[in-house]
Amino acid sequence: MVTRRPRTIALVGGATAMLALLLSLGIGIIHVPYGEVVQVLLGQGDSASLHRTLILEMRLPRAVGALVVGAGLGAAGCMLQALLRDPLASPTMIGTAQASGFGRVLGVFLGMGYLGSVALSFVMAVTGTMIVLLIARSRRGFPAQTVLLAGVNVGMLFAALIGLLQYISRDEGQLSRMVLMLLGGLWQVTWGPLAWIGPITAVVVGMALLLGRNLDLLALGEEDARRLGQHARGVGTLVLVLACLLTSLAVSIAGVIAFVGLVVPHAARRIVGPIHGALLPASAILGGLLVLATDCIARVAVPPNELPLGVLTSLIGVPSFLFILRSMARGGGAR
Amino acid sequence: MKLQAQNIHYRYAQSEVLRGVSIELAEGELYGLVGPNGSGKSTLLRCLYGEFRPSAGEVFLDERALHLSGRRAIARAIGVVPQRSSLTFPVSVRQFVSMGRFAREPIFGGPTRMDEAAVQACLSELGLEFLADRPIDELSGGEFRRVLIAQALAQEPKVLLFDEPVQQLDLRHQLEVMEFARDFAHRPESSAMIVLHDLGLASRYCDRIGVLHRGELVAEGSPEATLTAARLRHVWGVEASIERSPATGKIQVIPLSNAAPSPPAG
Repeated sequence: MVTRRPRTIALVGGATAMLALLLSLGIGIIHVPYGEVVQVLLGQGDSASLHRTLILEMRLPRAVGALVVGAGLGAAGCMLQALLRDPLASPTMIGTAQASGFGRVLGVFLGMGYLGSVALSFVMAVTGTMIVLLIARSRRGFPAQTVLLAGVNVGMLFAALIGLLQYISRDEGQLSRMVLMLLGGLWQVTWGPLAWIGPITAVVVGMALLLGRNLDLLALGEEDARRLGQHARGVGTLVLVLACLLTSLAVSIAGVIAFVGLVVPHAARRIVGPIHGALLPASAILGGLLVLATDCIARVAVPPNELPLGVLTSLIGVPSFLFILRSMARGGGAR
Repeated sequence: MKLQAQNIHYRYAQSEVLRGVSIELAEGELYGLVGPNGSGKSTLLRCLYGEFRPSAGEVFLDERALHLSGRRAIARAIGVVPQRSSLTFPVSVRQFVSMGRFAREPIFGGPTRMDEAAVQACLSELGLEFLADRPIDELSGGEFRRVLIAQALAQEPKVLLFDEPVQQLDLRHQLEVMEFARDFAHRPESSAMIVLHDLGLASRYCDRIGVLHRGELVAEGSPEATLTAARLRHVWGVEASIERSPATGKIQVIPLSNAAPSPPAG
């Protein structure tokens, strides 16, 4: 049961993330020597070279996108687990991600622009989560089992709605955009959307970090949190909105990527302990690293093709999830 | 600091759990709140720290209506030792106690050095230093009760409210908790209220006792005046012998048999 200082975590984690980012730039079907990577990043060398375009216009935005998506999902999962007092809570498990994906697809279906469909994705993320929480709410707060059952079902509802949209979509181009979007992946990431989704994610994660101590209290349960001086309802609502926002931002870049929000907080808890001042930044950084690493594997695993990132995170996430479940069942784990 | 309820009512869905209770907790006293199951003790306690808002009547903290105060302000004045508390993600004893500092920490900054020192002081006051780094889900019932008290103490409150704190504790730990409550209540400007089922402990330690019966405060005063054979028959439906213990000089309640006919459940 260690607790490390948030500053140490930010420093070590930030440095690791930067190093991983640098490493990822050389990885791909076309290998770029690291000497050249550094040169390109420093703005030296041939300005028209293929490698330069590859790194600056494709790999760098993609790597930054991976960090942004992973950080958002890791932080969102961490916040939801504290709010719902449930080690199994995550943006996918409670239906938020599916609802968000539905909003995004609906945007495509309605022919809305990027901004519009991301906004719709956010609205749907909040709507889906609210439905789950309204169903599951009891006088004593949110019982974990009810939240999960309601969440899984609402998730299925939105998955069905996505299927319906795909079925009634008559436009081939539209349909393939929907499918690509839903598989979850980072290949379509460009600087354009990243230029504002990145900073917004950073700001929201920053706001969440300010709430670190409040998450400790929320994890005690509403009644105990109030007893100790917290406006638990208000703070809880704020946490929920921030988590939904992070989820929908991540979904808008990368589609539905399961398991990052579920598994990452557990891994982080093992490393830095349960206090959120340390756990939340650790979850964000670890989430970023996980998605970045997974995306690198997705890029090179089956050349010359790419694996869909969402598929790969599930392949990694399911065994990790089962491991968590097993250690919980033994009573030696999170509960 | 004075905590006071004026003619408060509280209803759950259909039933009225509190029916016009007025109660005052004066500085320097340990007040024992007793009554049968379902008489409204825990509900009254929850109204006194603002967890429940009375459907009628008002609770005052130093002449100021409680519902006008923010949670932080209330938590700095009133500490509560709940019946139970659970954590999904087990933290260490020190981390758990430090959450009692929440209302005194800077809003966004988290604990300061001063807060850490205060936590350390609470741990040592309750003899928990050697347990400080243990996860709270590995503690015994008695240890966990002490941890809950340490957490409430970390709030630096002037009023402490205990909700059945001796339940499921062995004799030694019962006395330990009661002595702590009494000593706390007798500190300057402080007071404490304690919900109890054990009338012997109530009479032994409390300065004043209030008897709740079906949502009404039917008696209030010294143990001798409140815990009479007639009242035990009327309120608890029990024939009892009230004796003065030569060892403590306090009255002792010895339940003998259920009074006939037994009162309707309430």
